[in-house]
Amino acid sequence: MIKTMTRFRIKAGLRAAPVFWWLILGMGPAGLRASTAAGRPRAAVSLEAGMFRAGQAAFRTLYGNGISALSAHVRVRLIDGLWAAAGWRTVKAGGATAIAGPAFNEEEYALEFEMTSIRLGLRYAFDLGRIAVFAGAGGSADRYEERWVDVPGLGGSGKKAGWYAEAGGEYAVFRFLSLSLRGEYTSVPTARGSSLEPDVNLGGLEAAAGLVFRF
Amino acid sequence: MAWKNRRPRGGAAAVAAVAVLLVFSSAAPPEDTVLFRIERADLDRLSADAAAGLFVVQELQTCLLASGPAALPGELAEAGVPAVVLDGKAEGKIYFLVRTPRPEEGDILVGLGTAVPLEERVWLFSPASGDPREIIPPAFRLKRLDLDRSVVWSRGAPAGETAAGAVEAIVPDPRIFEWVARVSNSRLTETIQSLQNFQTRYASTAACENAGTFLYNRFVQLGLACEYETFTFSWAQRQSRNIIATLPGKAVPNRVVIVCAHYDSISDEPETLAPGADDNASGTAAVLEIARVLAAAPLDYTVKFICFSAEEWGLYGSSFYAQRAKSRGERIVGVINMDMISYTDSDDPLLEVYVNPASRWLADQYLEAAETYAPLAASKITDSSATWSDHSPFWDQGFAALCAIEESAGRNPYYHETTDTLDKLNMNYCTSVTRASLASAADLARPHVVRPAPPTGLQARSEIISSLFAAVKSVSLAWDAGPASVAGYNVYRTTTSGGGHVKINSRLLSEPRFSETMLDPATTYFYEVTAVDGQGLESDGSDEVRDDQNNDALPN
Repeated sequence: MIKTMTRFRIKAGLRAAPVFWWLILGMGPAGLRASTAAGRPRAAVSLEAGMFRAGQAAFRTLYGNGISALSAHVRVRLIDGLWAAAGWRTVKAGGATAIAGPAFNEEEYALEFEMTSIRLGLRYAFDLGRIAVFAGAGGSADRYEERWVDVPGLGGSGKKAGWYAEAGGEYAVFRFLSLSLRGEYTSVPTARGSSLEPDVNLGGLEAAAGLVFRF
Repeated sequence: MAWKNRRPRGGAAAVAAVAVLLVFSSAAPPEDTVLFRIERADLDRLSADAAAGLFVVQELQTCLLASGPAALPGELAEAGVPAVVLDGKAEGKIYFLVRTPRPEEGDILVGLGTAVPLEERVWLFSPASGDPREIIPPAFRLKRLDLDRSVVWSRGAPAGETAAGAVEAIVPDPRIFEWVARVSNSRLTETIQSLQNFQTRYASTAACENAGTFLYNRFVQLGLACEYETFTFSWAQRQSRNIIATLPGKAVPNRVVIVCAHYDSISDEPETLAPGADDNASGTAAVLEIARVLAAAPLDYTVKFICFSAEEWGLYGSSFYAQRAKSRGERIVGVINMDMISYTDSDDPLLEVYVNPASRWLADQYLEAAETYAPLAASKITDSSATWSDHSPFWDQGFAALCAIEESAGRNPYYHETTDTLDKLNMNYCTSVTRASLASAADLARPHVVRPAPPTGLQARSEIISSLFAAVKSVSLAWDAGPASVAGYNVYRTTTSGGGHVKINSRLLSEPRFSETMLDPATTYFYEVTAVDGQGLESDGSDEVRDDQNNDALPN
């Protein structure tokens, strides 16, 4: 099982890697060159950690109310205030099965869940000096996997498209470094389900904080 | 895997629409009805609830015939289950399933009415005018379809089928050996000759009714309670009679084993000459002979010996009986139907035993009993499209049933001819098949011994253990402890209430409780338990319980 999980992470990482490095190597230097020319940040890279709260009660019953999430985004300013964003996000949790309907033995099995997303979107930011507030939205390509740890073969996995909307603020500590605080809503309908929830949506709310490197 | 949640590909809206339509279509025969066909291979894309809601009028090996509101086929197609509409306005029409002698002969039907090929030799047919039996050549086999009644069909793995085999090895009973040995070749021959002497047994003719009276009197002479069951059939509202003789069970008389055959016949001169020696005086003679041998036998379950009529017209007699048996809650353990068991063109004849998926266990039991008591070469054939004889209406009602038939049935040159006479038959073969059928029936009905009382107080609870994308069902059973003479218990499970129970514990249970998990959450399971005494004698099954029967009654 550990091997399976590791393989999944490696595969997900490998698939995400080309996009990520294209963003870093392609957009990053372009942003640097742009910022040099204009004297204002034209690109930014953010690294954030957050807590994700699933929108569906079934998800929260299985995996808890708060799940750790990690994300990285690269943004390029298109015009004044408007940024294009590309990013990567992963959510991972352990949990336990639940009883759908009447319960007596309350038999329980350990679960593992992981979802990795690649995102593209737009963000509009109001620059208020050291502080900037922003709002944005975009689409995501999501890959998820749920496993019953002790029951090989049970669970589910798939690839689905979703979307997200975000809002937050950044505080510029230095010219090249900001602290960010961001909230987002995601929706990842799977068109699958089980006895507990016939139509699973892997979206929800997330609060994240992190560092933004501006160029 | 069967328990994995599966959903149609067409999205939530399509699924919801299909579910709603299916609920309406299953609640009652629809007003504006279309008749359509669904390939069985596509059914996996239908959720269990939606599949259960299908109004299936006939199960075949490769497809289902179903009816429903006009919008249903389109909704099913959106959900990824293509439905081919066979008749856009089917209400009020009369349909038959027709099995052709050879694949290429189906075209004959086209000129006689609406005919649609369903499988290689199976056609859906609605006559332009007249009764199909009177316009279709005798060699074509008919089954009247009832569009107002949904049949029981098997979606997935059949009940009773396990990797280890559904039937436990038979412990030979010396009494069954003795009974088998009493089957008489000469009596079988005499009965076939007597039936042939009626010249024709074409249902509703005076000669056929006389043959029915002859059978009735034979059963009465054996000391069996016997009754006529009169029914009407065909356009002209003809009448005929099933002949039903009953041997009451000693221990569990409400469980019934049926040994049956049709006694009517047909030929191309049906009103005057249809001797039907092989089809089916041979099966009828076997029923009479088994009744003769078992008439005084102490058996736990009731055995009914039934001679059906109007089989050749479209299985009318057996359909009438099976529907009424279902309505009155008759607990039929299994049906052994014999149809054409005496002709062979081989030195080493093979008996074919046809079953549908839910009846496989019964074929296994038949073959095992035959091997133990009356060895003969036989093979099990699972074919839901084998709808051409009196076992089929029992399948439709969810009963386990088999048809024992000669391998050469398709090669019998006298089939449905005026030349189907006793002199063409191999009576040693007929005797062998009768013995095998007797052994199977006697073993099913269980020679009476003093057994432990069945357990009482069986209660069942189930819970669904679920994650986001998978779920399993867990079931717990508990029952009242038996007396000290009880050495342990066995637990039996089925997915079809009332039959097909398979033992699921590998070792005798010492405590009056049992639980299992990793079951399909979309399937309803039914359980019985038995008690076993120190001598290994097993009781009858307890009252059957549904897996969630006591979910509300027992404290958490």
